[in-house]
Amino acid sequence: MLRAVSSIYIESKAFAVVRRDVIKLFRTTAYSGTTSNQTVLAGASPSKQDPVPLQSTPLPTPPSPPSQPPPRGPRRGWFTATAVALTASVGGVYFYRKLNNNEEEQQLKLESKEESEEIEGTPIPSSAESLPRHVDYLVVGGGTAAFAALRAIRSVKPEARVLLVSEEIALPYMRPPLNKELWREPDLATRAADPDTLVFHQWNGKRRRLAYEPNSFYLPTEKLREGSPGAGVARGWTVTALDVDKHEAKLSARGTTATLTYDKCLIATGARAKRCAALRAARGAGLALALRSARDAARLDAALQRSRGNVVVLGGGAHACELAASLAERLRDTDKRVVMMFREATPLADELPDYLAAHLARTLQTLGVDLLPNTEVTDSRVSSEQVYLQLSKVGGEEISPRSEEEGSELVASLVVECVGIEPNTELAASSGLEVHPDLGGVVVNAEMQARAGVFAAGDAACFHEPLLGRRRVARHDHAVASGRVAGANMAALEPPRPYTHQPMLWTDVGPRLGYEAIGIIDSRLPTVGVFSADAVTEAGAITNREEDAATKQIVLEVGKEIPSESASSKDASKETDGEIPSSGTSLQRSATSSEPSSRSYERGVVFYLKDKRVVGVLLWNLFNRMHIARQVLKQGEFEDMFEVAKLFSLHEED
Amino acid sequence: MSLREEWTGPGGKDLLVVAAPEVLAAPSRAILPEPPPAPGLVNADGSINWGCPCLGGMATGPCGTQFRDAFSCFHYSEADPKGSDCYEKFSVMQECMSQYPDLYGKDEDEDEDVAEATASAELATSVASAASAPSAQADAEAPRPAAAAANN
Repeated sequence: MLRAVSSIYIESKAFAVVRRDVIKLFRTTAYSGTTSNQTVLAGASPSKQDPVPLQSTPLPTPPSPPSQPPPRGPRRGWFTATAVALTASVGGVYFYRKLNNNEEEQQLKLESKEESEEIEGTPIPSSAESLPRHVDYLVVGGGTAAFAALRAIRSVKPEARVLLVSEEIALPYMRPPLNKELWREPDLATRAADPDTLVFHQWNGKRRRLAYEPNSFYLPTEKLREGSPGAGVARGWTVTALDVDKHEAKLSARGTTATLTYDKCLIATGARAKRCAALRAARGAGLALALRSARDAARLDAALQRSRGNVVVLGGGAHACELAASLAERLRDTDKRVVMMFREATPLADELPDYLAAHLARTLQTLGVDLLPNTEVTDSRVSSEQVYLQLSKVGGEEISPRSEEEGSELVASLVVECVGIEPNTELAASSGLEVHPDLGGVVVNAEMQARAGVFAAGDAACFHEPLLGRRRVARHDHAVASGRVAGANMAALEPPRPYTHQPMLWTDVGPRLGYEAIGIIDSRLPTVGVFSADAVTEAGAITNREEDAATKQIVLEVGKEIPSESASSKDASKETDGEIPSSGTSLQRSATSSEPSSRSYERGVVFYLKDKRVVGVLLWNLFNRMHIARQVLKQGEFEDMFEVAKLFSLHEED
Repeated sequence: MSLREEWTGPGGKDLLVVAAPEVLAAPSRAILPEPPPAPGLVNADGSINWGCPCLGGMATGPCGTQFRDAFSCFHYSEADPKGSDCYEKFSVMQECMSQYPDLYGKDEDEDEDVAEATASAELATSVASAASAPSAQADAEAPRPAAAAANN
C-alpha cells in the first residue's frame, strides 16, 4: 500500500509539499502499516547505498593469489551487484559446429522441447471450459516481454481483459538471476523448482521475489470467461495456431484444446536454448542440460548434486562465463572441477577486444575454472553415469591422444550447454507472419507491429530502430522496454509510439569482474578502449589454482592452451608513443613493454565504432554510468574519443 | 602528458589508450546532448501518468480501478486538506485491497525493521534526489540499476 504512496511522493515534486497529508490520508484508509517502499526508496541513488551483505556464505577469494598483486580491491558496489545477464547480444556466440542439415535441426528442436515438457505439473486452468472465449488482448508467452506488455495494456486500459498464455506452469518471472544469484545462496537453485515463491537477494541486498507478481495479482481465467476485466495467465498452455485474419487462436495443454478470439495479439514467445547435436547421447541420459528456465535451474541443481565428477560448461559466451564462474564457486570445496570448453581462442571472443578477453580468461582461471579453448565436441557416449566427450580442435583436426589408452576423450559427469539461444518463431511462421531469414525473429516495424492487430516484442521480435537499424536483441532490458511499447501501442489511445530505447546488458563473472554495455558489442568492429593507468597492471604468469592430479590429467589429455598466449600472438602491437612518460609517476605499475593481452584491466571504457560512429559502449567494471553511455550512443560522432572517455570518470573507483 | 596509445588486435583494429588518472580527471571537451526528460507520475499537462513505473502494480492489479478512482480524486482534490473529500473512494480501495493481503499487505522484503527505521529519512532524501534523477528512480526495481524494471 504505502509502497505506492512513497513512490508517489518521490515521483512528484508537487506531492512532496503535501506528503504529510497524504500519509495521513493513506494511513487512515489503508491497513498495511508504515512500511515504506523499500525498493523504490533504495533505488533512488543506488551508488550511495551502503553495501548490504548479500549472503552468509563468504564471498570467493582467489584461492592462490596470482604472482602479481591482485587487481585493485573490489568496489563495494561490486559485492552487492549480483545481477546477471542471462542473455547475450544477438549475433551472439555459438560455439559448436553448425548443424549439417535441417533434419538434424528439427530432431534437436524436438528433443529440446521434450525435455522442457517433462511433466512439470497440471496446467492451470486444467480444462478448456475455464478459459475465456474472447479477450481484448491475447499475449502469447509468459516471460518478461509478455508481463511488461500486460502492465502497459492495463495502465492504458484498466477495463481491459488480458490473457497471457505461458508454456511454463510458473507465473511470469525474471530470468537474469537464474545463473548468478540463484547459485550464490545455499539451496536457492533447489527451490527454483517452485519459482512462484522463490525469493533471492538482489544487487542492493534487498530480498526480492523471482516472480513479478504473486498469483493473487492475476485474475482467474474463469472470471475472464465471465467477462470481468483483468489480466489472467493460462499456465502450461501453448498457442498452437493463430488465424490472423479471423483474430482467432488455438490453444492446447495436455491433449486438451481450446479456441478463443481476440482483438489484438502480442507474440512474446521468447527464445529457447540451442542444443548441441553431438551431445545427443549425453542428453538422452540426462547428463547434458541447458539453463533457460527456473525449472532448468532446479534440474541442473539436482544433477549437480548427483554428479560424481567434473562439470563441463560448453560455450564461450556471457551465459557460459557467468555460469562457469558460479558453478566453480559452488564446487569450490569439492574435488569436482568446472571445465569451460569453447571454439574460440578466448571466452567472449565475439564481444571483447582480445586484450580484455585475455584478462577475462585469467579471471575465470583464478575463480577455479579450467579453460579448453579452440575445442569442440564432435560426439558423446555415456557409460556408468559418465559422459565421454569426443573432442576436436576447431578446424577439424583431431586432438592427438596422449596415449593409445586415453584417447582424445574428456570425461565429465555433467555437461551444461550454453551454446546460444534461438527465437521461438514457429507460431509466427505457421501463422503467415514474416520471420527474418538471417536475424531470426518476427519482423515488426518500429512500433513493434507485425500486421494490423499483431505485435511482437522481446527475444522473438526482429525490429527496426532508426539509430542502429534492423536487429534482434536478447536482453532483459529489451524485453521490458519493447514489451512496454508494444503493450502501449496495442492499447493505444494515442498514436503509436516507436521503440527507440537502446537496451543495455550486464554480465558478472565472479565477484570482481563485471561489465555493462549498450548498443552493438561485436569484436569484429574497430574499438577504442580507454583505461586509467592505475587500473592496468601486469598480469604475470598464469597461475592455475591447486591443480590436483585428476584435473591435470583431464585437461592435459586434450592439450591445454593458455588463452593469453594464443590471444597475444595475434596482436599486431605497435606503439605510437612519444607520449610515454619518461618518469611515469602513475604508469609505474603498468607494463610499458608487455603485450596488451598480458595485462589486467580493472576499469575502463571501450567504444565500438562503425563508419566513424559509436555504435556500442562497454563499461568494464564501471557502474552507474549507463546514462552517459546512452547519450554517447545517441550522439554517435565525436572528434576525439579520448575526450569522450573523460566523461566517464575512469579515474574514480565507484 | 601521461598517455600511451597502442594499436592491437587483428589487423591492429583496436586502439588501446592507457592514461594517467590526472589526465582522465581533467575536464572533458566533449559535449553530450541533454538526456530527454523521463516521464514521471504527472504528465506535462497535469494529468496522471498511469503508466509510470513508480506505481508498481497499483494501477494494474486487481484493485487497479479502485486505486485509480481514489488517487484521481486525491490528485484533483481542491479540498483542504487535500484529499479530505476522497475518504469514501479510499474506503472502497481499502475494501478491495483487504481481499488481497499477500498483494497489498506486507512487503516481501524481510528486512522490514531496518527499512522502517530508515524509511522516513530515506523518503526525505529521495524526494530531493528523485527530482534530479527521475529516470533512475522510475526503474528502481530493475534487476540492475540502469535497466528497466518490468515489475514496476
